Amino acid sequence: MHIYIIKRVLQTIPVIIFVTIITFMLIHIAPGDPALMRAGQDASQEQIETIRESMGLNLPVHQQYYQWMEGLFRGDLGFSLQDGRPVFPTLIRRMPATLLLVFFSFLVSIIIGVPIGVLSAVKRNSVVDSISRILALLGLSMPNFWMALMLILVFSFHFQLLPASGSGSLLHLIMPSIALGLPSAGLITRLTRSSILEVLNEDYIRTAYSKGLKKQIVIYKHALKNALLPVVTIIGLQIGYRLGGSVVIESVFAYPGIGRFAYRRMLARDYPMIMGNLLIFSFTFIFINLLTDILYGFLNPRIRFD
Amino acid sequence: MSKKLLVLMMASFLLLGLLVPVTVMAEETRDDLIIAGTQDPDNLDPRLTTSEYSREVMELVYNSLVYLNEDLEIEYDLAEDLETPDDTTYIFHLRDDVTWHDGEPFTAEDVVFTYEAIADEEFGSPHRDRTWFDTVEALDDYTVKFTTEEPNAATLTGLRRFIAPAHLAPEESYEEEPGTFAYEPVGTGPYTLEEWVPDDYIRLERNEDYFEGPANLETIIRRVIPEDETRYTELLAGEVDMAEPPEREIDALDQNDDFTVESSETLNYFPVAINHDYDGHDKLDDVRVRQALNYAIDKETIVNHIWPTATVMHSPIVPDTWAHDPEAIYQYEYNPEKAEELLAEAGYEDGITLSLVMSDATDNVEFGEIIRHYYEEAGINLEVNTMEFSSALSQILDGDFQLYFMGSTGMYDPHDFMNRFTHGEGTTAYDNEEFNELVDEAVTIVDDQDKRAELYSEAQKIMTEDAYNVPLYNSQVTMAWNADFDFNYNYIERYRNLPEASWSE
Repeated sequence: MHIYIIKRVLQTIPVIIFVTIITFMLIHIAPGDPALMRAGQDASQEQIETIRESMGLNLPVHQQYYQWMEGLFRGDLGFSLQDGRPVFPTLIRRMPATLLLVFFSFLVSIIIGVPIGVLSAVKRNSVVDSISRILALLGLSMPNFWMALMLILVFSFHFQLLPASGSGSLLHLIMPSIALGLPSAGLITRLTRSSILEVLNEDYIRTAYSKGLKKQIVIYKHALKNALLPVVTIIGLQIGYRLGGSVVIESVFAYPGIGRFAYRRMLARDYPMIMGNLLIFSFTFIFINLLTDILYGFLNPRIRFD
Repeated sequence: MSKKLLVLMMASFLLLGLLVPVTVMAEETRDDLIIAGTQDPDNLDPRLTTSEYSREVMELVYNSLVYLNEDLEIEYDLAEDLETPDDTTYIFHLRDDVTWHDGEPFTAEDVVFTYEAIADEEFGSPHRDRTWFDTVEALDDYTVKFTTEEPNAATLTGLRRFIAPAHLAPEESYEEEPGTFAYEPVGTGPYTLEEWVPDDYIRLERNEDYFEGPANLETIIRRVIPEDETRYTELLAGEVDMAEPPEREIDALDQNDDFTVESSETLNYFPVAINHDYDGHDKLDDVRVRQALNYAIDKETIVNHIWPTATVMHSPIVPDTWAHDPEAIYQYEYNPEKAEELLAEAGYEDGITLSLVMSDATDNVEFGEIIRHYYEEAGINLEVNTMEFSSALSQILDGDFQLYFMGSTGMYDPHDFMNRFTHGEGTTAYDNEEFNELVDEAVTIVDDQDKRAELYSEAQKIMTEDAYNVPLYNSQVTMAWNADFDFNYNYIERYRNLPEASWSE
């Protein structure tokens, strides 16, 4: 087990290096000039050049990368081009709000997705199954920003039950979590359904039935436990999608997480902030996947020895 | 099994409900205000930002020597008196009872510090090209002298910049270790900035030692809610007290007794601008082509459709300001046949191809589709290039365009806009000998506004007959707030009047 963990940890190192290079390159290939944004519409060419120099944007790209990596090892991601805020503390401060949102959105997906998936597998080819499959498809194909606006329309505008924006209480989290989590509930429904169906044909399920166990116990204790393994994996993989989705959802609900902030800074071409943000997102993603893999190793001993 | 999960699900939602803090109904008069802004300020160093969103906050945190009131007249702020011994000298006597939020006294040094930075080319202030003076010096602790080379009628309005503290603000705009001043600003204003969570909210607290006496409201919170519908919903639900409503909801809000709605003219100018110095071609040098561009579109219809609250413009002078002269301006009526004739005369019977650069804002995209259609009718093939704002701006500043669509903001003095068309120095490189002379002369007349207005009338006649651009519209902004909140709002002074505002009993 130790060897497995060490191996997995070492495997992430090239990924991390690759991520830093990609992050750095992407931003420099993108159009738009941050010096110009800073100087404003009426600035002269000389003014813009002066600003560009003082921002270090006149250096060759590889030197800019080297400087940036040096800072990275010191835990210093530089300062915002827009307002001079230090990148790392500014971003990290907004991280908990986003993680909370992502966590609750998973709660929504699982609470809705798993039971419907099980139901649909058990009552395969019944009306219940058809309806839940249609619902799952609907959830999957519904854009989350549309869902967000509909929720606001119904619960804030008409009934004035839930706050349409901001944060601070669990009430504020309900609509954003649903908007972010519901589309994936469809995915989890489908995944749960197919893996339960697969598991139901296994020998040990037949054994359990032949022992005389109740159907409910068989499905709950024996089938579901094993069928949920792929669901765990997909949740790990979904982290990336959720962090991406948070950009849209946080914008619609004016939720003070890292996603909306990243989006604003992207429009402003605030290079250090964008790079810092991409790194934090990628590292979170890599870390969660590593964790999923290790967890999986515990859940399914066969995997450790591959 | 599914029953158990259902129960679990319902239980967790009930639990969520219990954890929500109970809102206590406020019995007493409120002493706070929650404003919803559309964007966050970029930074709050007044020398480095031209953002309107920054200005909304800076109006409460900083002061300036002078400012313009609703009627665009000069009012004193940090200045107490102004002497003008001759046409090129401005001597300001400053208030001696002003302190910075950290307790340091405000002196003439701060004024000199701020304006020297703005005038310094190295510093790179975006205000530099709109501030007209040659020297600034402190005569004593509470007297500052500005001089100009030539008499300049726009100098005084240009001296409306917010003053930054010499002992705290950085001397260079980008030092090795960036300071925190741009996001932890210290001013002299009625409110101090207590907390700024970027892209979330800014919390301002009353400055008890404000030189005009403490403001009424204790706390002002400015939340950032970029999404139109969300902001509007929060306003209706009473979660925020004041916000800019979406344009299409203005009528509905106006009917609603719970809200006060105020629409105001702005000092903006949106044209389809023509590059008079485009490399390697002479199409746009021909006045007939430029006139055809003006005749070929139905400005009224286009503006009313896309920007329903805006006013159509025919010159860069904002309508209803003193220099605006509808009599002198040549107004191009919609006349596609005339446009075609002019093009044929200019030698483009078989059509002409031109390109337009602009940012990818939603209304721009719609505008691009419409104007393309109009021009096609008149035999003008328009290639519309929309791109991200800073890319569009960069291309425009590089002179790499034939036509562009982008607004100019803030015509506090006619010179602010007119000087952009002189001597080929502006983005459009418009250079007309007669026009240059008129505008150059007009700005030197400091004591006779009527005489100045005459010259601008003549200048407007010349530029419009010459089809310098395709002027389009002047936008409006609308603000809505809770009707229980007494606020004397106007677009020019904006939040400067907030310290006197209060909730009705």
